Amino acid sequence: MCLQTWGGVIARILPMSGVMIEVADLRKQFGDLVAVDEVAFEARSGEIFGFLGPNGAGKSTTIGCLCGLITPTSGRIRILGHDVVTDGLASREQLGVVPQELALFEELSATHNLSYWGAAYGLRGAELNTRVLEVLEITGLVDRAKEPVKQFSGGMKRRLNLGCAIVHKPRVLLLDEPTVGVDPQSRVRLLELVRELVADGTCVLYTTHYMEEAETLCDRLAILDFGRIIAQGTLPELRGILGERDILRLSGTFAEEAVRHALDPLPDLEILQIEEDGLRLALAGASLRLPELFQALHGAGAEIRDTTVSQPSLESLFIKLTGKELRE
Amino acid sequence: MRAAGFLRLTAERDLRRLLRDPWKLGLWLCVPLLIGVLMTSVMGGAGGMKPQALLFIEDQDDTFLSGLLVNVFSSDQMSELVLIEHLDGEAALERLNDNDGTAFLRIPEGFGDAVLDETPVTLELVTNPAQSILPGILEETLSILRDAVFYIHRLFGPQLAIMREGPEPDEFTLADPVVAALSVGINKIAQDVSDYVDPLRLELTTVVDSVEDESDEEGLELEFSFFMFPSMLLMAMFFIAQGMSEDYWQEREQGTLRRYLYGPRRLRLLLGGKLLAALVLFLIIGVILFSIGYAYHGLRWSTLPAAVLWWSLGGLGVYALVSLVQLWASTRRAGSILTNTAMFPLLMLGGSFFPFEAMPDWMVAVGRWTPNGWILSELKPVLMDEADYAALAVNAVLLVLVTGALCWLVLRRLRKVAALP
Repeated sequence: MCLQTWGGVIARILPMSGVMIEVADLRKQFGDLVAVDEVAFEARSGEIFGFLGPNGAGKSTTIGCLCGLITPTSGRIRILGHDVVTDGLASREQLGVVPQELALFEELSATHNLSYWGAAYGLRGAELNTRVLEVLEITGLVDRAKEPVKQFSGGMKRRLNLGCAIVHKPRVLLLDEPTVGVDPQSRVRLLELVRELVADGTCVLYTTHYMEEAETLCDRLAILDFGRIIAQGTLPELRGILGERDILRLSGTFAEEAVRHALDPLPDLEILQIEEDGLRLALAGASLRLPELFQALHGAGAEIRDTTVSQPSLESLFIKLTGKELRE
Repeated sequence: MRAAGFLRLTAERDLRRLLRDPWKLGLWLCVPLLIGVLMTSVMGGAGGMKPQALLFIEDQDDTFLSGLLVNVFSSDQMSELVLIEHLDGEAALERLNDNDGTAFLRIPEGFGDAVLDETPVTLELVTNPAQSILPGILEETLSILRDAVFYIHRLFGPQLAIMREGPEPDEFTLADPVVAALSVGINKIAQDVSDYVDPLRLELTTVVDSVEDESDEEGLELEFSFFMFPSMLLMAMFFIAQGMSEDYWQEREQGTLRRYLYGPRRLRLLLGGKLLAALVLFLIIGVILFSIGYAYHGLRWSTLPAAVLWWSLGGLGVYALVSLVQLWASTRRAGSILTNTAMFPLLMLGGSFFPFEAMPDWMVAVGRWTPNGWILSELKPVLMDEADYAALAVNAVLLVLVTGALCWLVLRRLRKVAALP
């Protein structure tokens, strides 16, 4: 059986199993620089798969490989069973991409933008017109449909940017930090739109460096750093890496060596991060153990000004895994 | 949607975007028009006032020969260039001092006798120092007349001597045998030199002016504005091509070029759509501009379709060329600088800024090898209804092939530019 026939078989089987995106052993090297290394994950129908990582972690390179802009050095990527390298056109037909920067014809109206990109994916005639109207409804742009896009607000442009990516009803949607620079109201509307799409069975790959967004939106997450996935799973699974422990955040003045020495004897406590003006700890029953902690820190010469106890978050996990904050 | 349908849609999209910015389109057309009108005005074409010398003459001799000299300046051809006014010397010099005239010519008494005797005589020509070209023309004309007198004496010396002697003292007119001898002598000389001064032979040797003369026969009014007309069209073509080629950068900045790569359509369809939009635009603008030019210059309307088609195909080629230059640059600004750097010398050399007719021969020889020079050289015979259409068709095929090759290069470059982050 030839390669193409196998590809066709896989393309039929994978969606039945619900797997929409399949990435295995992905590696991309630019000269000596390894941008992405051994990246592997699967995303399914009706699922939001989050890609979390700081700038330069390899998120955009991975997205570039997924949509065929960048040819991988090695590894395999399949969109609904279609290999993006050997069967690029077929895989791109199933794909909708919302780039980080706006990609709109500013001189044209929302209707013309949507019509053009719909036609680019093969829609025509009544089907195209109906779908354009639907997307205008979904994105809340019906009233402004005939106006040139350059007259739109930033939030409206973001919604149209998403609309252009979904006008052809893609089964897989890649969103590359779609809420960067968006006002809170428009952000909420955008995230609602994404949830609605997922409810209809679309598979969404969502890259962001906003922790809260990833926590509230994504069903499963992969955390990237230096081109590698350092953790992957559902939010509870990822929280489990930290254990059933609270996160205690202290601000003040801390001497690293003395603090480490003072806290070392305390049981079931992990120092996540220590800086001159802040300390982050993971420990069970944090509020009950505050007196014990304060005493130890006082003995180490630390000056405490503020204390916060919280549930484990992605941010804490990221710090535990990478030793740095995501914004870095 | 089939590829052809998508091509049409892409072309429609580009044209629609262009129409949303009518100022840009207006600028592309107005700048060449403005330059053309200015150039034509400066060069004195387009029905404007032609330079004319005002010559004051004081004829102190008042003989047949001095009248003949005055008539030279008031003949049909010279009267377009020289306006004569009879004034005495004092008044004429006063007018010249007021810069109200070109020159003053005094024909002294005894001029006629001196010409017949071939003795020295001085014609006094006082020129206006505030003018340079027109006085020079008058001086040159007098110099030619002086040479003519010399040659007339060499040819008809004996006959002139007989005429100078006049009739016998007791006779009122020349005797019949003398008149007969004069006629025979003059006829013989005229026949002898006819091989050299035959008007047809002379016309053949002045080939440079033949185009204008023949066109006059066809009823075309060939002025500077006529020669400037195709040059203006070429200028407009370059401005349109450059303006449209900037759209690659605009699309890149807007992110739409990159979005295109995410989709299932091949990039060559996008390029095809852009070429189609450019061709449609060139055809529409071509029909409008050429129609205005044809009506203004009274050209043959039957040649309009060929002229518009050739101009549009040329425009497409120039568009492909300028697009390649644009995409070769690393930024929009660099692209703009590069295209301007390439465009303006081509416009200057290729007869688009100054018509070939107003350029030195060496520059014309170079200019005809430029793309616009070639397009212009093939366009002019079409306008004058003198085109060899079989040769034009061959050239059109050549133009399409060159444009195709340029588009292939543009596509290669476009792939790289579109994928840039």
